[in-house]
Amino acid sequence: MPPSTKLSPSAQAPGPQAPSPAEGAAHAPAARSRRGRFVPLLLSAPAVLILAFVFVTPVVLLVIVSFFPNDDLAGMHTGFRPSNYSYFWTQRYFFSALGRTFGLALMTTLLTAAISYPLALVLNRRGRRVRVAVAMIVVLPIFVSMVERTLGWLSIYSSGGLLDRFGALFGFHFPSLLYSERGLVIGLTNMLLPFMFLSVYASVRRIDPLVREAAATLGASPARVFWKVTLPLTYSGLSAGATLVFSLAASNVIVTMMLGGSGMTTLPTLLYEEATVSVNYPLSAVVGVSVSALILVAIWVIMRLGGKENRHDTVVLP
Amino acid sequence: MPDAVDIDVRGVSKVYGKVPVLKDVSFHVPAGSTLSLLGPSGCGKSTTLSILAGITEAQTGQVFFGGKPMNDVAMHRRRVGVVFQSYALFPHMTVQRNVEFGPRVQGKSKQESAGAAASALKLTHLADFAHRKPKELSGGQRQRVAIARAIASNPQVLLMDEPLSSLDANLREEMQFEIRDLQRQTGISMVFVTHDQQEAMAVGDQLGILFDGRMRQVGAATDLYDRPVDVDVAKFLGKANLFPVTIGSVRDGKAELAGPSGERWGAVVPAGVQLSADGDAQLMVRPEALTLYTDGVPEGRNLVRGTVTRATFLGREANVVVRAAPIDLELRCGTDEGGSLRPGDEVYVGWTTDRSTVFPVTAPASRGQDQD
Repeated sequence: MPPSTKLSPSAQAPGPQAPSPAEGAAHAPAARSRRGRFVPLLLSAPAVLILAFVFVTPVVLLVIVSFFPNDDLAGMHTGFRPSNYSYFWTQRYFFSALGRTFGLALMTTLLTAAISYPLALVLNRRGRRVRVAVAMIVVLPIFVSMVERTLGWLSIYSSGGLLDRFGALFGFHFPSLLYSERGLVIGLTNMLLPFMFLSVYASVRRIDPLVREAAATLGASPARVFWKVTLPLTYSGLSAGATLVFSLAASNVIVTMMLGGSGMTTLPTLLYEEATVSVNYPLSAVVGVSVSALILVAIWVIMRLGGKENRHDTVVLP
Repeated sequence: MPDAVDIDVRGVSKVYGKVPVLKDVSFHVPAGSTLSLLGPSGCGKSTTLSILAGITEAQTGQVFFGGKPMNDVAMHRRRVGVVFQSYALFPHMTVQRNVEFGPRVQGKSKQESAGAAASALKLTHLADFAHRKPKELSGGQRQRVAIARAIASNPQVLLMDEPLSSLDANLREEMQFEIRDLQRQTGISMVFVTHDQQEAMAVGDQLGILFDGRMRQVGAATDLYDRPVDVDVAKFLGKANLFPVTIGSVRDGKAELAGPSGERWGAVVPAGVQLSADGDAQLMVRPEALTLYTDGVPEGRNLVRGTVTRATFLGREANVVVRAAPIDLELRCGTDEGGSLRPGDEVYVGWTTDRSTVFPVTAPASRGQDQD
């Protein structure tokens, strides 16, 4: 039987004491499972090592540096000075920057959700062509450089810009959006919309349309179907989108500086200034830790809200 | 039982784009009974159910529940219990919440809803699973949850869309009986869609056969099996022997006709079938209605002469094929007679007039593209 002899050498190579087929079969699973345990570890090792090197190490360094003393003449030196935190966390400008960072990120998150959610619902009912076309349009900004897009907003906002000229057509004067929080939120929303939209849209697409129809045949009005079925089943998408958008908005520097102007102090711009202008690395590390803490708390809150998806069975119908 | 209503469908048509899916479909389901809608996939049976539920709108025609027109009643006010093929359970709710959903959204109190859910779960033998999530259940259990959920919403009519098609054979048979029992216990009017003939017969009081968007025949299973109105229905319900015949005369629901070699036969004309004298027609007789004669031919039987081409011993019975030009007759007979047959044996095959049917020659239905 030529085919079998062709296949067998690898299994029977060991030579004269080659195991009988039955023995070989009995040994094979054990050997495979022993090897099997190491394969996932081996495969994930590069990613784990890279993450440890480029993520964990910097975070540890950041925390260590945030405790270093920084003296006017000597500059930064090793040591342990917890007062870095107590000093910074009692400053008035810290609170205003914290509040502004939180407010901007929250507004951006809400706005992206308010645009994405209805759009995803409407799009879900359309044909394939419309769905693909609109989804492309929403996601397209990702392919344009952030700086380029922000310059675009600047040219729209600036005096004599697109917005002014458009208003002039109707004899109307728009309040200036240049270097304002509103203008900044619009810019951030434009930048981060794709992240919210993609995760919300994916979760809407995942719902079996029959589940909504089943709810309707059981007597649920369209509003009830939305609140009791559609919304709970898309919590996961909403919270994933909110996590992404909030953390990206709360840590953004470039758009904030370009659209917000020099007066728009947020934690990330403060961090940038402490590091580049004041060259106070420990204090900039303190700001960095503060930003991370803010984002972590926000994610925790979002997860708690999104957790309703899993707790929904205990939520009582009104 | 509380308020069993009859279902009346009159002249319903539906076109998707340019493709007609339902053409002038009418049928009636008496209060408290079950109609099995049967047909090949793409025949429009799921669309019919969807129109009954209010999920799909018909272009023409009307639907009545208990004499009340339903066309303008939104699906959440129709009080229909729908069991979907894919179950369509709420994945984020426990079994209990799934089943309570109907009564709750209809404004029933918590206690009332819990009571309705408890009795529906008991009927479907699910009381022990109330606190599980759908994903923690087997296919059969999910199917029961879907049924319990539909029943707990206290519907006027129960609609089931191929509810058993994703279960394995044993479970299917068990569930057929359970659904039948459940329908009898609750006394609710039901429409049950399936593509499986045996399932349709096991569950339905009546069968409705849909082909190419037309309701070909509605009636009791035995009627349809013995007296189909056309070749599609005949073939869909089982093995059918079909002779080309010429009609002599039609009287009192029976036809005198001439066989392919001029034999003189009689056959039943099914209700609603129009035959013209001297016209071509088809005679249908089921394999089990045929008897084989090797010597001695009895009186008062329709007979045809033929040659055995194949005799297959199947244990309890034998499957015999007899060439009776221009067709091959298939028949079943006891092993005693069938076992000794050899290909080439000359035989007579006979049947009684009561067990044969005649209908006009029609082009067989095209198997339309899958719409379901």
